[in-house]
Amino acid sequence: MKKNETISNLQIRNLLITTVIGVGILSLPNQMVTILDNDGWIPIIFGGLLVIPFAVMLDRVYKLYPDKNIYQIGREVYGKFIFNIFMIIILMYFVIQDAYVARIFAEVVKAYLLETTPIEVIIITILFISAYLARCEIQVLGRVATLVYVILITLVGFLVLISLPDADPTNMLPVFNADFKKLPSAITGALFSYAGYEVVFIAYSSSDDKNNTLKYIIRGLLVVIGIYLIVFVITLSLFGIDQVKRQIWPTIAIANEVDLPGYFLEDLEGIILALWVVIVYSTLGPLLFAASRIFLNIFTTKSHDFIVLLLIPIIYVISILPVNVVEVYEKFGKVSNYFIAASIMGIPAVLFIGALVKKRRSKA
Amino acid sequence: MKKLLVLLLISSLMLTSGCWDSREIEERLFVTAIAVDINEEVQEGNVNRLIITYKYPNINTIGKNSGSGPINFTLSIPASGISEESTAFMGEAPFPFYFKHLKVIIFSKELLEHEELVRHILDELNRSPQINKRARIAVTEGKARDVLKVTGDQEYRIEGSIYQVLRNNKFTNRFTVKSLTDLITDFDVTGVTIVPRISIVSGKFVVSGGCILKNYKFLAWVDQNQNRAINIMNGIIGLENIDTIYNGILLSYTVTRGSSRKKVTFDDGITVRFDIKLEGYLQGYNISQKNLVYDEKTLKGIENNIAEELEKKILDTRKFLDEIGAPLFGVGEHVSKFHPKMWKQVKDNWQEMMPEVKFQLNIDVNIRRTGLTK
Repeated sequence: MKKNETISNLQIRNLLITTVIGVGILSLPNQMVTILDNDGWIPIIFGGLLVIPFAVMLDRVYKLYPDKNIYQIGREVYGKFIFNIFMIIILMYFVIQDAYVARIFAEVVKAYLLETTPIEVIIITILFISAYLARCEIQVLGRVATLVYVILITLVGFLVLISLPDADPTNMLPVFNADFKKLPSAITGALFSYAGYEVVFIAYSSSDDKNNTLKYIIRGLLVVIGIYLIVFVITLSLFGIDQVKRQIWPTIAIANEVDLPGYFLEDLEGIILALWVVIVYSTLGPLLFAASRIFLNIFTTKSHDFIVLLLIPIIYVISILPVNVVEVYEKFGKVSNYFIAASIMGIPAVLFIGALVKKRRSKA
Repeated sequence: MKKLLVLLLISSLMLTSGCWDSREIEERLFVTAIAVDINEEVQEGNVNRLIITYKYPNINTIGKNSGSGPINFTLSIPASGISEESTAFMGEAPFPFYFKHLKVIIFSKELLEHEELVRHILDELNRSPQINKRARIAVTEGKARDVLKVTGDQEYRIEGSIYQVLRNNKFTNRFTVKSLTDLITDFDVTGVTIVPRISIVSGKFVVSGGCILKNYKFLAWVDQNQNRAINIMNGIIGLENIDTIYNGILLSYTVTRGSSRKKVTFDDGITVRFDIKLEGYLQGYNISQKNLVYDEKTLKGIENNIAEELEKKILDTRKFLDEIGAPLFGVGEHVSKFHPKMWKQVKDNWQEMMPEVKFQLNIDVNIRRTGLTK
């Protein structure tokens, strides 16, 4: 492989972090608190840790077949036809997830920033901008991710900073008091906030040092868990449990809560949303990239960049299907959850078991 | 070619005028305060049961080449809700309202008698992405719109003086600052809250004491002394003056810092121990040739005197609050956070149990300094 076609492990880590963190971060505290009250931080940790075994499986698969990418491995293990079915499922997942992210993005922007702009315009704009990124090669994505990672850390730091004066840590109490029968459903809910890490399926084969890639993937997941926890803690300690239960997007509402001395910084949600737009951009771009890459491998076309433009109308139509914001979360969210479950856990597990069996057989 | 395009794009920025969402900045009315009253002339079946008064600065009077005219405008409109779309005479205001700089919301007592209206207004305020959730709440006994009209010319531009007073508790303890979120959270947690009272005295507004609300309804007024007791018990302690009579002479003590901690035990009924710690200096006593206060024994005596006086005030306030059924000392919240298992048992009849809860007051007054003289 040529040097300039590889990306570093650090870039893979950043790609993972910025792709996973997108629109989920806005509603996660609300979803967790609704199920598990003050103990919502527990499923956030468990959900994140649950992803790690599947990342390990993926790593093993790549170790069994060095110097091959995921399509080649899959075809070797399961044959072209069966693996193409898997790939179509993942393709559908990426397309639906992209539409879901774009729609929620548009809803938030319309609510807070552009009240009189039609939602269709917002969706089309963000889709075209992310298409610009998705048409590039993986190295460009890695570099953008590293850039956005800095912005992401800035945003989290900023949120912590502005919420410190008014936060009341006792709002976190009582701990370990929730109904733990609901824990499994809460963990499944939290797991969906880790959707998007599958981009490393594709990025893995471009890594320049595959021996250490797993380490960076796990580190990336830990960073995501950390950021989710920070956001959960600050929203809960700022609002108290009932207000978090009421808010659809408690993370942005933090900005409305802040009362800094003097008048030099007001309307802070403008700043927060501006940073957040970039983070969503770095979620949509890689998802679109992954979708087009998979499309390319199923239909063996020459390059992926025109496929991106082909996918945009499909994503756009799916994203405007829900008639209101409730439907976006209730129906759209549910459909995409099935696909997330299949692609976060199903595909790595199936691939791992298949590869293991095949290798054992060929040895015997 | 590419460079030219970039240059063109950059220079096009100079033509943008600073509008947002295709509205020019001078074509917005930045509402800084809202007063909500009951519409008395409303007929049966009319939804416009409120009179909303908006106050917004006259932008022409701001800046270097400012024109003349009133600093602020006020506009009263019958409406069904806060937002401009629900007002009866749309188009009365020259431009659309913009609520992100809203600082003060004033309710009239009359309005607070109607629970369903209060619930509606609070929900609307909480739901809107436009409204600044740190806007301060105040209640007035008369018409809320009168307060805004009185302060119309007093206020300096956008920074409202009511807001300056309501903003923080650093300088006074005589009322409890409440933001919109605080108010809603209080109703969520215990159902009881206290909001500053604002009134007009000889053409000027005065903020002192508070108004107790229970379950989204008016319950009672408290004066500034009672409000101070409530604040001290909740650990909200700012610069504060406490006057007592020591040896028959008026003594002023200034609190500079303080804290209040609660500890609840369940051995023999519910007992709450309050550890209240006050630090401050002697403000004034009595001038004479002898050193009156400059020895340890006298200072201790004064400290005890202040502590006793304070304890009496607190117990009086507690009696009053128990009578009206308003547990405002944060005991319920404390139990729900630190003793969740106990809270499950008592939360349903907490308010009836409140008078039986034993209070153990442990007030520690410290005079750290005596000023310049002995």
